[in-house]
Amino acid sequence: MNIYSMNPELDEFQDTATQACAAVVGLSVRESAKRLCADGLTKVLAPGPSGLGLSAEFALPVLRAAGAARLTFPLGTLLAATHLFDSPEDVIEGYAILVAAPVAKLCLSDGQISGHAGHVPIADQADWLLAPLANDVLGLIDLSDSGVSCTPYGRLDIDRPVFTVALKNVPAVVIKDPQAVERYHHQDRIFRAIDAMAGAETAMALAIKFLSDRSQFGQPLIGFQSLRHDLARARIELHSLERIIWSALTAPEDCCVDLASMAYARAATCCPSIVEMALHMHGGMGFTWDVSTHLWLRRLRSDFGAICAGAAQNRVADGIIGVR
Amino acid sequence: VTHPKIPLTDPDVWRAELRGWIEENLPRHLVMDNSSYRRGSITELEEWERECYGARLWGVTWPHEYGGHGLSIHEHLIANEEIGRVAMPPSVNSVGKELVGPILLSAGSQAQKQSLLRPILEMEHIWCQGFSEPGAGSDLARVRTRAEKIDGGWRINGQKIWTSLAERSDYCLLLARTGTVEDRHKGLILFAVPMNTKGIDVRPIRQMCEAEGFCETFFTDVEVLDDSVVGDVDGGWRAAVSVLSTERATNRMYRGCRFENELQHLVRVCRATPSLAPLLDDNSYRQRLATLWSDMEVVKANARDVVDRIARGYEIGEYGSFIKLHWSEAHQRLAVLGIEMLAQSWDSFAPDVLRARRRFEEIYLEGRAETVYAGTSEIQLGIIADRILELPKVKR
Repeated sequence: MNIYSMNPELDEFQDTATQACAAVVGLSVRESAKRLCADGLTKVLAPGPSGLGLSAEFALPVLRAAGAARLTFPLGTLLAATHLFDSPEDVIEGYAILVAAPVAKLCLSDGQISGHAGHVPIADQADWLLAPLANDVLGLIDLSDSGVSCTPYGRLDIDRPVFTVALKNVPAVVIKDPQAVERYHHQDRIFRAIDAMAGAETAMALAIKFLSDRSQFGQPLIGFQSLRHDLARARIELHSLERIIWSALTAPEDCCVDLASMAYARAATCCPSIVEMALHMHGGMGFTWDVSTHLWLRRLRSDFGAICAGAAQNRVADGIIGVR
Repeated sequence: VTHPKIPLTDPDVWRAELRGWIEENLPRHLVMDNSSYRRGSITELEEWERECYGARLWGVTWPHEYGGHGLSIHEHLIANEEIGRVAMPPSVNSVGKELVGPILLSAGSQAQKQSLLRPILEMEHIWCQGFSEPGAGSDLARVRTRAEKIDGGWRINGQKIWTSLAERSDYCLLLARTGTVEDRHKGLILFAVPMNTKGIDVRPIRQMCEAEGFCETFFTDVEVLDDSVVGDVDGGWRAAVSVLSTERATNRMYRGCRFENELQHLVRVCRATPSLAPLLDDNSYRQRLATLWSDMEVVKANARDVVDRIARGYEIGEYGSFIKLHWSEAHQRLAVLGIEMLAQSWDSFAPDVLRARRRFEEIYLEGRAETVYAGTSEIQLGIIADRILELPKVKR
């Protein structure tokens, strides 16, 4: 029984989102955006006439489906950022592709930004970049500006490659509303955790299928207790992660515990390890291109490359112990 | 057990009432993070629990007619959260309140409910649990204690172990066998056995943590009446399973809040002690504290989730394995961190530091049992693999 079993509406959302995400696998980013918009997934959290205006917990089934399908389109970023736009129609209708930099070293001078933004997914295909300028300030940058140049960074995630984006005197929209910026960061951390959880769940399912089909020493591998216990431990890790994600999504606004950072830290700690375990359980087959587990491994390790579990744990520690 | 599914009180008012009562009535010397703490005598603790029952902290969901307060699982959770947030001593009748009570409510006869439930809450009857045996721990289906039918009752012979508090108990919830060991889960029977029955011999076992109450109990030609049988004859295993799944999920819902109390105690003492304060700036300790804080939030979230599931009419069953496994292992990690950090105040004899050190040493030592009792971690992993992941079983 998963978390949706008690909420038929979320359960229904999960089914719809799963079908919609499966339908865009293999399509271009722009085509994906339009299809996902047509199916309503980009509009889940958007208020007003253009959006569905649903509460934050509806992001869970949507992003779980997106993570399981390993979408190239950064749906989580879009959902986290929707509230930052006065008129979000362009991004939620799929006309403009929005990406985000988890880390950046940027300076703002006379309304223009210079510096570098790191670990930006599909920067070469996107229109807008959201990047942190300071603790509670974001910059929205037009990636078609002549002062922007993108350099591929690493080869981990080949489906959704990341870039280092260099900016030189690029005009930007500066978002200074601390509440709106904090809400963005809060949701962004949770949504990244959901994406990773879905990847780990999918990799685990692949491992269970393999172990059930493959026999060694005269019996299916799934019968060996050490493997069953490893899978059970992974399951409890994912269950604990899901509980924290749910707590973060449903906590009252005045909640003084940084549940979003806890969710991110848990995800960054356990999800890549679970995918590594799943790959290991495939034996030599796991090292082949055709077994897709490595694609989730690449995705998760790439996604958590910029901000590791330790950085998120430090945020949690700052909240409970105090800033050093 | 059928009880109200919706809150019957205003949650804030209910919480404030309980919190206010505890603050006013809990003796300071029984508070484990207070420097004047001393271990309470059994009589003192029984009296304290009796007062807690009067204040509606215990027996929250039990029906009025059996001495309970007739409230919902929501009030039960809040009562537990308030118990947890203060470092009050653990129950000396937890077997009665958390195991026997629920199983009597679900499987006991009307006469048993009428005669046995209220005295548990009023602390007139202390109970012990007679399940494990030297040859039947995790594998409870290997229980050998024999129950033989005699005219008007049953004759019991066998040995039970880990019967905590048996030497001061008034009753034992005893699992025995009517058939042979080969019957495994069939032919198991549950009894409510008065501990003053002739033929019962209780021998204390010294525990590694020095706490009192660990026992082994021998039953030699112990004769009990037919009305001592709890549930159906040969239906004992089903009732036992029901007890164990209840034990894992709904008991001690105060754990998350107590965990938080312990973490806050540790941080508070470190902050106030010159030799410990620098540890709070040390990145490795900060990371471990943050991880444990997250674990604690999971424990609290799991309790809320159980309440939600019960209120919506779902079975808890194997879900309890998540809760038990996660909590027990995380709590052991907390204890290790606590003694490690506090050990660096070796040159401090301030009362608050000494109290904290003693408390975390006790948590550490007693905590070693947490991954053993109520189903070892390996049993929980097996349950998760079999019933939650539904991994295919392989016949060997």
